[in-house]
Amino acid sequence: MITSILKQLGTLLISLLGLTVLTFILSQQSDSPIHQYQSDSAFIQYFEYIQFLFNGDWGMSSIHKRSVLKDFLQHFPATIELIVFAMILAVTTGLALGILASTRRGGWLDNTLMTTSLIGYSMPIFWWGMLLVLLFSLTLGWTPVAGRISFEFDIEPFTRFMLIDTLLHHNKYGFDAFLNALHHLILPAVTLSTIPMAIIARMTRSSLLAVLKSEYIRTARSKGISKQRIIWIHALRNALQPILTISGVQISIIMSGVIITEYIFAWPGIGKWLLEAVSRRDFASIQGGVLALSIIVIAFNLVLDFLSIYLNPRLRRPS
Amino acid sequence: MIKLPVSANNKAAWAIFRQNKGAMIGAVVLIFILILAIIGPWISPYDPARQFTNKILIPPIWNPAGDFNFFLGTDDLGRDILSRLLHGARLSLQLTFTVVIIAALSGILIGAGAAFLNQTLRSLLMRVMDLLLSFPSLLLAIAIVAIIGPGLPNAIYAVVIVLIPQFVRITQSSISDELNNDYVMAARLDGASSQRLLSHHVWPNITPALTVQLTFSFSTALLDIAALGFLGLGAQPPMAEWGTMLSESRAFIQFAPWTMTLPGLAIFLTVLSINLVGDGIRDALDPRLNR
Amino acid sequence: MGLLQVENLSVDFQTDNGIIPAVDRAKISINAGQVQGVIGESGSGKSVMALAIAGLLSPAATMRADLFNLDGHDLTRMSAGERQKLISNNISIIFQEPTSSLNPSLTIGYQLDETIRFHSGGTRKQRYEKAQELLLQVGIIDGKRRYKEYPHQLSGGLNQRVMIAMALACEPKLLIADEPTTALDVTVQSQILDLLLKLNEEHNMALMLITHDFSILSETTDKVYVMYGGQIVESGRTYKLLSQPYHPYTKALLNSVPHYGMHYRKGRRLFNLKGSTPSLDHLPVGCYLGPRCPYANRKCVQAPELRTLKGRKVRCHFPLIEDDS
Repeated sequence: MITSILKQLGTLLISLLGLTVLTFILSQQSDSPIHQYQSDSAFIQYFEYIQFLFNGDWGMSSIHKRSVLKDFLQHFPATIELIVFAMILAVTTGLALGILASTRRGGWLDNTLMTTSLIGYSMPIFWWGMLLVLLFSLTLGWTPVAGRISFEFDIEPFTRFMLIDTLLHHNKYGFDAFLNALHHLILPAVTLSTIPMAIIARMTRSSLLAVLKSEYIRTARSKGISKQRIIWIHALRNALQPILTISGVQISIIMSGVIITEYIFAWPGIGKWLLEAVSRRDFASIQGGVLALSIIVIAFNLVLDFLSIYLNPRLRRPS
Repeated sequence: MIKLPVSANNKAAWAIFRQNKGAMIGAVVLIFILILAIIGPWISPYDPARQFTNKILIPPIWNPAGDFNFFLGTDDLGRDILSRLLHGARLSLQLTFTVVIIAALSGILIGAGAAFLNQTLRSLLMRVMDLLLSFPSLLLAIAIVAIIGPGLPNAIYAVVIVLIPQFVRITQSSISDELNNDYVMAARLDGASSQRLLSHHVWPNITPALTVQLTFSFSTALLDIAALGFLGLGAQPPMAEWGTMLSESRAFIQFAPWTMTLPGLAIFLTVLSINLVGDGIRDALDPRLNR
Repeated sequence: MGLLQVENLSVDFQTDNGIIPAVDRAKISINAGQVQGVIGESGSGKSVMALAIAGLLSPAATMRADLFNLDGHDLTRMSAGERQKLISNNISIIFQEPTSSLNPSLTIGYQLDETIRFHSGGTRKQRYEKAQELLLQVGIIDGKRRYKEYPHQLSGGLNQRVMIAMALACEPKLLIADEPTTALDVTVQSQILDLLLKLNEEHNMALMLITHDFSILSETTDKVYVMYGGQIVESGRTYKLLSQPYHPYTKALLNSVPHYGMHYRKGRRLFNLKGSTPSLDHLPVGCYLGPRCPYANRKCVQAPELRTLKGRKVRCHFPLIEDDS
């Protein structure tokens, strides 16, 4: 346990080192210097750069002349809202579909699911998003085309999480504003969740099928334990471990996907902000955005690693 | 575990592959797309950049308003979509091939070298690779494009860099796995040299894993190049690149949906058939990796 | 009184290459408290037969039987659910690989407790005490500590003891032990066997010992079934069967074991059958042993039926019986 934690911390340090070197190089590309360094040597400047970061000085955007860190924090809640909603959708539906398919192996549900999930993970998310817009927004008129909320609602950004802020405006609009925000969120979240959902469903199915063949499941069956209990208590716990290990890949897919999704739906989050910065060559913002997003990815992976250690007694309590 | 001679393996693998319906369909579609990409420029009716200014946003022929001169319709500048798709096929596949080959070669070389490095250096290198792998590929590509600037060549470099770590990881770990096997130890005790070990014993046994990785890299590369084009960071208009075409169509989804559906369908079908073939190859080459 | 009576039990596996008969019309009967052995090489169908009796076949297998009586109940007339319930209340089974037969993510205590809860119930405290008592019965002294541990923290022998404790929790009338000692160290093997026999006596629990090792059977069992190619080829009282085998296969099996204390002349080889065990999807015509049997002649292309000879059952046209009658 201790050694695996130390190993994790080592990886974390190397990751942060590599990352800050990259963003340091990025920050050096700017025409107007982002930070005022004391030293001329790039090596020492790097340490000064780290110090700036720790002090919360991530530079000034060359376009907006605003603090990069502040800009980031303003756009970040929109992205988090979208990601969390999409993740909940992907994990719950993916797990449910995978479990259903594995218990009815070879049935129509299983076959349909396996075919659609294959299609799901070959789907270019940028095309998928546009198809959904074409169908649900433009043809059927069920969902809004873009944005987080309709213009008629005047929402004061307290938390910048639209679902929470609209609830805080309850006395002004009732639940109308909240529902409107939810309405705006659905299509981007579906777009973003499709590929992870397909992968989770497929993984759950195959992992569960493998576990159900194992000898300890046979033991459980011999004790006369019910089918539901075998799946939920005995099988799923073991089947989830390989799924957790690939969740790191999932977060990568979601992070890449969220940039595209925000671009398609004009969602005012980090992805859109970062793309704008890239096209305007606003290096201060690029450097800050890449750094912040990467820290989130690294933190997420770290949490996952600890979770899989916690869930696997062989790692938690080595013999 | 019994190690069959590679030739016998290949025959058995082909037999398994042939029975896989999905993989065979994928292979046929993929070959069809490849042929189109090769002969596309000769069979395409028009120059992809030629603008028929009086034939703007004409729908495909199955629409009553279609025009038989423009089989798949025209875009907002009056360019023939079929011609653009055919030229785009060649461009997209060419780019993908180049990217994957460069990434695979560099990755395998680095990985093979790493397998023979000392413990500390190797684990340091592998940590760096893990870091790159844990990074969202598109974010990494965007960061690289941000440094070197948007445009097609830079997007290509970015995708190459994104793909390399996968190959390094697989090569390195397969080689160390194989070197720990009993049969390699036996060969070593018989006095086989390192080169001989690598070429005769290790290489034949890591090619399955690499082949599978290679196939899936094609779909990743194709998707990433198209995504960068879509975001305006890769190929620039008026280039007939599929992702760029998709990006240009954004303004006309409502009035001319075919300008969006057709290039997207081209990307999707290509990626799907590559993935089908990849699944088939994986199942055929290594039953242990089976799903 | 017959505890378990099975007649013409057949198990077929549905595979891509057609149907494979894993068990062919087996006939088994066990009385309460009896110790029986089933012996055969791997692939002879002995494990599949055990799984079939315990109701644990995979969905790819189909099972038929003319008679399946367990503790006075006719299982052929029951629904799958009732059958499963009756079997799990009366039959327990332990396997070759104790460590992988226990769930790696759950503690020993949890798995034991769950079994007790399903079979006798009781409050949490009662169940805990019952679990400790069971652990003690199977010879685990530090039960309080082991209760909180995971299977990977225990040795193979200890895990097998846990499996036996879990089996006991069901208070079975029959315990099927499918190669229970094969994966264990030699010294641990005899401990486990002794434990099984002790429990057999104390609980009047019938024991069906499945193995490929004659030396285990000779000391422990009353009756032996010999299986080959999915069929029972010979059965009878252990002592008689071992001292004078009637079936050529039984004889070959016995002769392939070197005997302790016997003097082997230099150059003399242990007896063995030519060829190898037939795979179940390519069984020979007629007698399955035919192509390998030194006594076979043309009559052996007809499949022999199981017949009774001097209180023994033999499936052979030419049983090795001396003319002393």
